[in-house]
Amino acid sequence: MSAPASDSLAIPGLRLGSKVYASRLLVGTGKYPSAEIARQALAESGSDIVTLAVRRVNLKRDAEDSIWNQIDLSRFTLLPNTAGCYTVEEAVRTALLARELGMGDLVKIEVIADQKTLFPDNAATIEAAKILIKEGFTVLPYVTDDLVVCKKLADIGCAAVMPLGAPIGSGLGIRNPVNIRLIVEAMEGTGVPVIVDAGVGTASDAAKAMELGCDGVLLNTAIAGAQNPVAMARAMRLAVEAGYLAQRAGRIPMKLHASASSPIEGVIG
Amino acid sequence: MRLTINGEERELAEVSQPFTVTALIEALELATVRVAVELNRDIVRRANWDETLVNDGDTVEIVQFVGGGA
Repeated sequence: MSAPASDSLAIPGLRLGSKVYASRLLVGTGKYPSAEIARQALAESGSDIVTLAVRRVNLKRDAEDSIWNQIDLSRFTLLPNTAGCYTVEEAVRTALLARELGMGDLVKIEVIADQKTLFPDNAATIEAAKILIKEGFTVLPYVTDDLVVCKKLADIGCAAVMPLGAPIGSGLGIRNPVNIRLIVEAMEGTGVPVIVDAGVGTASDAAKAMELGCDGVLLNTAIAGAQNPVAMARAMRLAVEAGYLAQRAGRIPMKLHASASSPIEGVIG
Repeated sequence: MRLTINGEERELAEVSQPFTVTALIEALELATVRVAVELNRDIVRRANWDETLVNDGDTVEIVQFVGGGA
């Protein structure tokens, strides 16, 4: 019996470090309206990897329990991030603490340079990446859409590069598709996947990232902040798949003039 | 015993002796929460909590996972 046609359309997994993950959509866990919505959205997203931040425990007696202590995350691979860190030292300390929380050696490095835009300090990110790679971490660095920075990060052994599409939480989508495409081309042959991280607003943005040749998309606000996060989670899952397939399906070229789809002969007259 | 915990100065009265990291976590009622501990900028692995002493004037960071993407 011949294999079903859908096999040839199966989407291979995303390799990060020594593991392969079925889903190319990575989802953050911030800003959800409730634990239940978060739980459902994460499930609907089909994601295998979720990011979490590391923060001081609130020591007040009546402090609200983090909703993430109420949700079963055992089926996910946790990707701690160093959100809120403005220096190399803070990022490294946070990563080490995150590993101590028992979550494996994946880490998303963020070293922020500007409070308004949350743009990363690329140089500090490279420095933190070097230190953490030496410590045995599988490093995913969040950087600007700069191919020179991405090349440096690939050279030092990062497991992926994560250029932003637009400022975190801005929903502006892929502001510079040319830069993203240049990064994708620069990473070809290096084995280092490109994951757009930050700025995605809606499904078409995620699809666009994948159509540009990216290997994955990381987003948070687009789902958590949507009016219907569960619906948006599904939309994002489909968008990442759609973009991946479209990119490899060999699209038609763009032409200025029409090219009829229906035959010219036999028109009634 | 006076400690700086998560950026705040705190006075802990009547600490048991020896006052270990385990004892501190229990005193703060965090035994059931998944936390990581940094004592004077060094991470104390959970396996070593029972043997690591907390001294007067120490600085402690106790962290947990929270929701966040970036």
